[in-house]
Amino acid sequence: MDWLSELADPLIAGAALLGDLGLWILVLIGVLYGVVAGAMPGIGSTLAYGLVLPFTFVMSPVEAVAFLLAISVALQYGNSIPAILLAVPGTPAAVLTALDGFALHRRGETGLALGISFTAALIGQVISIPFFVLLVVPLSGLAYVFLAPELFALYLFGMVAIVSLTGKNLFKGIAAAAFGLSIAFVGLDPMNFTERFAYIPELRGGLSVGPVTIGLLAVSELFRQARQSFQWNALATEFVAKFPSWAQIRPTLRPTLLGSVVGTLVGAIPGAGSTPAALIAYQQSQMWSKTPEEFGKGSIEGIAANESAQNASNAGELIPTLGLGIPGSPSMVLLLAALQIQGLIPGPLLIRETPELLHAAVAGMLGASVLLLITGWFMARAMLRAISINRQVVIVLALAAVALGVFSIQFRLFDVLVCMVMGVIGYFMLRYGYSVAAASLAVVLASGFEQQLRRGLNLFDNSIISFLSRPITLLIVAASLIFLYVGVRRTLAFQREERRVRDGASPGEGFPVQ
Amino acid sequence: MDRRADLALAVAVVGFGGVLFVLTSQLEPGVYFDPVGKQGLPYIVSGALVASGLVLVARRLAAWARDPSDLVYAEGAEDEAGQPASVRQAGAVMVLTLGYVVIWTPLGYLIATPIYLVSALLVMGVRSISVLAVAALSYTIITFLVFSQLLGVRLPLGPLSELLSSAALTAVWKHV
Repeated sequence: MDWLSELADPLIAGAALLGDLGLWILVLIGVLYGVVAGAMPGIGSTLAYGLVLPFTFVMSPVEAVAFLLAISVALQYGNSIPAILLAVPGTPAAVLTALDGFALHRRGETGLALGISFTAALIGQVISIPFFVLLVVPLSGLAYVFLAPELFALYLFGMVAIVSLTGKNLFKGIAAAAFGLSIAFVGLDPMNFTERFAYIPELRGGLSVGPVTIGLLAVSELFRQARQSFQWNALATEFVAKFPSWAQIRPTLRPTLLGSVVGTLVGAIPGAGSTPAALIAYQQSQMWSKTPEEFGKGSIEGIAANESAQNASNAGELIPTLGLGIPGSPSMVLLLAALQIQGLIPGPLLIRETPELLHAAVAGMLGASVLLLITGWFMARAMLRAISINRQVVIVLALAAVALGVFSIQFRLFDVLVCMVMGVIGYFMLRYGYSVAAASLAVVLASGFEQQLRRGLNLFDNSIISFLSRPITLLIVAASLIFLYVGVRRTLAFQREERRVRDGASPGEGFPVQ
Repeated sequence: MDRRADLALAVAVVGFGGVLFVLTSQLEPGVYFDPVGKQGLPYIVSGALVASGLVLVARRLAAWARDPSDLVYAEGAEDEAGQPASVRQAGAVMVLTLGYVVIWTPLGYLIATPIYLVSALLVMGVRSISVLAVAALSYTIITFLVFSQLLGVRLPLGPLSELLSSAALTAVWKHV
């Protein structure tokens, strides 16, 4: 019954953290911010994290983790609101909710769509929490087995996975990851502590992880959105919504459960995240449904599967992030960056050395779920007002807020400059298919990656064969090669599609141009 | 997307890799020996940049020979469908944002911020005087009060630093 105790202890400890009123206040702020951010199309979880990340530095690691996770939970719920009411998903993960949800809205069944989305999101989130604990605790036990070769292989796996699964071109992904690594080389050599590429005094300590990752992930997106000026509220209409009855909710319980499991497991794959989790759950649900023809035309089962999966993926993404130190998604890269700046080192030892982070994760997700249960239904109508906020004002104020937040970390204007320059570079990366997620992940993992390689080789008498031939190391390297193969196949598939479109259209016509 | 810009970026990747290689060769080796050394990973990374960049350049040039059109299938994030997009608008916002960082110290937060906000909003097409005024002033004042007074963040205040310190507003950063 050890597994029961391993499951119960973090859950109880996490719930106990919620006895602190201060933590509830932070979780409430996170929930409100997350629902608003999710309801505003274009503000995904990565940008939402990036905007508040500097402010987490005044919090303790426990408060920071709980706050950020409350934002994630609320955001995954918030993104379904514009999806249903405007056919505009708040984030890509809600695209199928937009399909079925908007169809129901047009038929006058807005309450049914919003209600199913609400219940599925909550159930998915709550079910995923014990799954998360059950899977992450054994992973942290690997800390005692993992030496330098295994840790090096893990960091390599993390980078290869995100390079292979994000973006349409593997070579651009490799270039992006290499760029991230080169940024991280600036500063002190981790073995000799002598300077490397530090041509001005400000670079002697290296480029701070926080400003670099916020610039690459958040500021770049804001600059990209500055290309266009329009308002979201042109499509908004008044509606009447009645919460669905138990008879209407009951048929959605099976797809909700399916989505919860799929979401947790797919979310745990580094580089996967909520969008593929939601798509796979939707597809599986359609396969098992008695009315598959309704999917895409107003299926409540489809909405339930999609919403439960993308909410469950929050906990799924945390499994490799906290258990292995490999971020499960770009927003998790920022979570790790926040913890790194607080002095914590990502890796399998993280949970062993600071188990309160696991409890904080449980507290954040549980607390946010409770608050959404009480307020979520009422927030749906209020979020129509969020969509009415002037989009251009939001973008410009967000840029100013990022500058202020980054400055507040170490009171250095140089950090703000680095952040904005990274934002400019990230803009071009985003526009032309170079993965900013891969670059950011490389920045976060680079130090550990190089240290484990160089110190580890020293421990193994400088023998690369001995270093790499340990069984777990070989297993992880093999997994990396499998992901690399997946990346190659994705690249070739995209190029085939490109050729197909080109051959089927006249030169200069019919291209999905930007 | 425009394949010329994509090609230029690929060339820039090759160039960056080349520069990294040259700079790495100029590093002094460390005192403490290890088989990879201070230069090992930077050399590998520069090689990866050059190699991946060359593959991308070759791919574009080969495709160009088959089809001379400048437009190709988009590989990056796409704009919102049905809405016009302007690279100049984004570029102007980037320049203004970088300029905002540069003028923080000489002008101070309280002067630089409203200038930046109004300029950027005008570039983004906001023309309503009330929106410009309310957004610029309320954001500047609220954030100054919260960060400088409540959170104790030392914001650069430029020429206003003496005035504000004599008005007994604490956490003022004197510009030296």
